[in-house]
Formats: sequence, C-alpha cells, structure tokens
Amino acid sequence: MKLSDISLKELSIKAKKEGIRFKTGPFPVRLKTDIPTLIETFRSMYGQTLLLGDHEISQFHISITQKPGLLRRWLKPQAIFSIDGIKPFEPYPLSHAFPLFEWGLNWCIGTTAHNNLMLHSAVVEKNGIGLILPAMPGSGKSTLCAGLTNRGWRLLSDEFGIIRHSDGQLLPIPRAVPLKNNSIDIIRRYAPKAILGPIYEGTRKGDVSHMAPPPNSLENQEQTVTPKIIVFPKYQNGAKTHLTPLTKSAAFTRLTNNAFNYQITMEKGFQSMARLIESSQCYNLISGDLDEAVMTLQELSEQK
Amino acid sequence: MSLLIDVITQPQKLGKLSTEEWDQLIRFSRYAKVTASLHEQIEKLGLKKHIPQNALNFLEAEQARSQFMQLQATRELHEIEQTLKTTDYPIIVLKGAAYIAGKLPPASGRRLSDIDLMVPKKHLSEIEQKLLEAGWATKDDLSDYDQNYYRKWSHEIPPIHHPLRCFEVDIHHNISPPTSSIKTNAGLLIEAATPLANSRFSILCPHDMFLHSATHLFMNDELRGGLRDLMDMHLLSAVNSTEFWSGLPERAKQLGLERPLYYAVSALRDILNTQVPDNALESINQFSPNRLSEQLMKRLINRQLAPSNPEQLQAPFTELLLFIRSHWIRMPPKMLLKHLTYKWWKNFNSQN
Repeated sequence: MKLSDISLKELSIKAKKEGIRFKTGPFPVRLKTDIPTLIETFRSMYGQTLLLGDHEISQFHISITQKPGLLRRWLKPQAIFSIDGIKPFEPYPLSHAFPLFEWGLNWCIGTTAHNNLMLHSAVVEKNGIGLILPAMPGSGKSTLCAGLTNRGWRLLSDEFGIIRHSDGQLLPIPRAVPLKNNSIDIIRRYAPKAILGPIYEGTRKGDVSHMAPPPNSLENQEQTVTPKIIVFPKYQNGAKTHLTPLTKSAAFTRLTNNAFNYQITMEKGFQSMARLIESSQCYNLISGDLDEAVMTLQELSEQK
Repeated sequence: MSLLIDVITQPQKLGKLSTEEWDQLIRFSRYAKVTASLHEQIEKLGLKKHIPQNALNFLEAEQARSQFMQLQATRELHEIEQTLKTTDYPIIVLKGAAYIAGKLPPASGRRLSDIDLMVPKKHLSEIEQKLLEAGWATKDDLSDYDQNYYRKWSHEIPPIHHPLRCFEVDIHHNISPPTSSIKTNAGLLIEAATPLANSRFSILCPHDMFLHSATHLFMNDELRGGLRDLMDMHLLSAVNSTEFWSGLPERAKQLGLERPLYYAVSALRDILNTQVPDNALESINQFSPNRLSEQLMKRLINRQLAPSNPEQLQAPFTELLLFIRSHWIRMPPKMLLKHLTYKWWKNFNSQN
C-alpha cells in the first residue's frame, strides 16, 4: 500500500499511535508524530512511497513531537526531534516540523550509516547513466538537481551519493529537494508543473520550499545505478556556462573532501572511491544559467 | 531492555531473534551505544547468516564507526606519546583508551569519543604546557567560569584537542573531584599501575580499573550510557575471576571507594546477572548505604540503565533525581548552590 492510498486522517492517527513505517532508499524508517501539519506535507511529498508492515525492522525510529507544557502550546509552540531517546537538536518552531524531519533524518543517515560510502552530492540518472554532482552548500546543487529532474532525469538524491562497497553501485534515496531563497522562484518558472511544498521562512538557510520527488523516482528507489559521470557544479552569477575536464587525481582529492564518511569507512571507503573515480569521467561545471547548465549536462550524457 | 541484556549475557541468542525483536534491539542498542559489540559477537560466533539484512546493515555501520573511533584513539595516543617522550613520570591511560591500549576484553566493538589520561598532580601543568606547545588547544567555547571551575574544583584540566584531528583529550590528576565526598588517594592508584609493554603509558591495575569505572559511572550526572560501563565491568571482572573478586573489597576500602563498588556490584548482579563469589559479596554488602537510599538508588539505577519500554528510553524524573544526587555528592551545599545558580542563569539566557 502507498502512502497516498491512506486518507490524511487515518495516516495522522497511525503516525500518532504505532508510527508510519516506510523505506527511503536503503533505509527502513519509522516516523512517529503528533503533529498533523507534518503528516500533511509528508504525505504530499512522498505519496508514492510504499508503506512497510508494522512488524518489519526499522533502522531509524524517529519521533517528532510537540513540546509539552500548557504555555508552550500557545506561546511559540515547538517541535522536538528524537531518535531512540537521543535528542540531537534544539527544538524548531512547530510550523517547521517538516524541515526538522528532513534535516533530522538526513543527520541520522549522514552521521551513522557508515556501511556505505556517502558523498555529499546530488545524483541523477538517465538512460542508465549515473551522474554525480558533488558540491558544497551554496553551489547551486539543489537547483541544478531540481532542474535536471524536471527534464527527464531520474532523481536519486539531492543530498547523498550512496556508494555500495560490494559493487560500487549508486543506491537511490529519493527525498524532497529543499530549494532555498531565489531557487524557489527559479524552479517555479523553469518547471511550473513541479510540486512545491509550503515556504518555510527564516530557517538556518533562509526561506526554504521543498520540491516533491517525482513519482517515478520514488517508485524505482530500489533500482541501483552505475555511476559514469562526476561533475562538480558551481553557480556563478552571470557566468557563461563552461564545462572543463578534470584530472582523475584532482577529482579524487575533491571527492574525498566532499564525502560524509570517507575517513570513517577507511580501507573500504578508499577502495570504493578509487573504483568510482577510475570508472567515471570527471568535469568542472561553472554556470550562471540553469537552462544552459541542464542542456550542457544533457549533451555530455548523450556523447557517452 | 531485557532483550538487549539477554543477548549480552547469552550472545548465542543473536542468531534466533524475530524481526520484531531486531526492531526493538536496534533501538535499545543504539541508546546504550553497544551495537558494535553485538556485531563483534555475531562475527565471533559465526551467526551472520541468521541476521536479517536490515539489521545487519545497521550493525555493520556501527562497527565501521567503532573501528574508526578506535583507530583515532590509537593515533591520538601515539601522537601524545611522541610529544611526551622525554618525560619520566607515570602517565596512565584510563577507561576506553586503556581497554584498547591494554588489549582487554571490553575493547571489543567499544566506542569512545575521548582519551582520558591521569598524571601525578605536580606534573599537571607541565604536561598541559607540553601538549599546548605541540599544537593541542583548549576548546575556545569554554567560558571563564568553566575554565576556572575545572582548574579549581575539578579533578581534570579543561579538555584539549588537536585542531587537525579534533579528538578530545582529558587530563586528570585523580578519579574524583577534590570537592567530592568520595576522596581517593591518587598516589595509591599511580603506585599500583601497570606499565604497558613498549609504551610510554601505563594502565591501572585490574582492581583499580574496575573501581574507577564504578566511580565514574556512579558520580556521573545521569548515569547515561551506563549499560556500556556496566558491560565493561562485567567483562573486566571475568578475567581471573576468583582472584579478582577476592581482593576487590579490600582495595575499595583502601581507596575509599566502598560505595561506588556496592552500587556497581548490585547493578551488575541485578542487570547482567554477574556471578560474584559469596565471600566477596558478603564483604561488599557491608558497604551498603541505609535501606531507604539503597532501595531508592536501586530503582533509579535499574530504570536508567535498563529501561524496559523502547518508546520511553528517557526518564526525565529519574534523570533529575540522579542529577541532584550526583551534584550532592560532588560538592558541599554552599558551593552547589552557587554552581547551579550560575548554570541555570546561563541556560536561561541562552534560551531566551
């Protein structure tokens, strides 16, 4: 059964009682919450996700609850994130429960799922070609990723390039794409059909609105992809679009610095990283225009 | 938590759990920070093929993390050793890092996020100076109050770390604060310490190592992560068990650590079913506090170290009581009042 097959009311009751179990990429998750707006946005973002049974294993048991206290409920109500009795963050405003869920789950994955190599990158796929876009925050990675996803590429992830050690395959983990500030309008204009969630004002990263992962991306989240191209994107206001090849050694160094857990995964991480770089073409991309950047990457993938 | 305790005491059971049990075990073991030790047991007993893939992914991820932490700790110790090569007083590695450096049973799958060292008090500032000159640094977010508190009232200097590796190093001159109602003669600990082969470092003798773990746990604010400390003690006590237990009560008396020993043994028996020889137990039972405190502490300890409901791993009220208790034994009332007022004020200001 898919999330969207259950009414919002029923889903909210389930979320409060036994929790909602679902899989995001390789990770089975259980979400428990008493916050209806969180479930509403969650359902609209991940409608095509399959529910897991109540007796299956979850790797992350996440709970997001309204901070108790009579006064608290009226004055500046807050949401608290916890995983197995551990509360890693300060409370968020209650209205920001969804970004808290997204951020919190990413934190859980990024800081603990060390059985794979995890890159800090967006990943998309077209015609079996896996394109990795590793980048630091502020480089336009999310915008570019959302752009590609609305031009026929399958979204694997906006945040995590998960490489399985055993065969070097990319594991999809399709999640809502957080668009920040100007990117929200850029994507609205670029892809009027994209589904965007509410705008959350004044988060740590400014205004944020999430783009829902396209249905095909959620439906095929178990389909792994072979990485073939690595492009380090950099948005530069007014810059001409410019794609330049990158030597393997330079790409290796940059990618190790970009990974969440290259050091932690030690020898396995090195092996996976080396195989990835050896089997991929590596480029730098500078661009000031989303349309041009998307077309350049499209042409690059067709040359293959 | 009976499920987690079952598999700690009878690791064979790890091969026979249902998916629902694994779902719960993941939660308990994450909370107690003992997942990687479970993975070690699974490898040792060859049970991997009986573990559901989703659970195995989690176990392997935690194992990778603990292996890395152990490597970091070993590297950090090596760097410290290089820096302090020319000194000649004893430098004792404590707790997690000691289990790893001494290749002791609790090292298996153990996580650790800092290195604890102990040196004679008169060498404390010298060792700090040497490490600071070699690149280690005090964390810059420490307030003047905290700095002063550490130096005046604590049994350690403010934590330091090397900015390139960011692994915390805590340097102590004793195992309990000078203000505490528990007073230990650090000289006795240092005198009995065992030098490690081919190393600049020593580790505490087996009795002292156990007593330190007990003291650390029962002086700790909320006994958080206490089950792992209990596991450490369980494993330490199983090495040369008979000999170990027979001398332990006497050593606790010498060091003034009777009460922590009592609580530790009581929790070990209650929670991990640790076998203690009768004559040792008889002596240890004499270290019990009055009946009321004893009953109350037992309930708090059991609730905090072995919660039974995965939906309620945290117990705010229990934690509050334990917090009050730990501060009560740590410093005299007047000082406590000043300290808590300052902490409350700081907390209040940062929240509003």
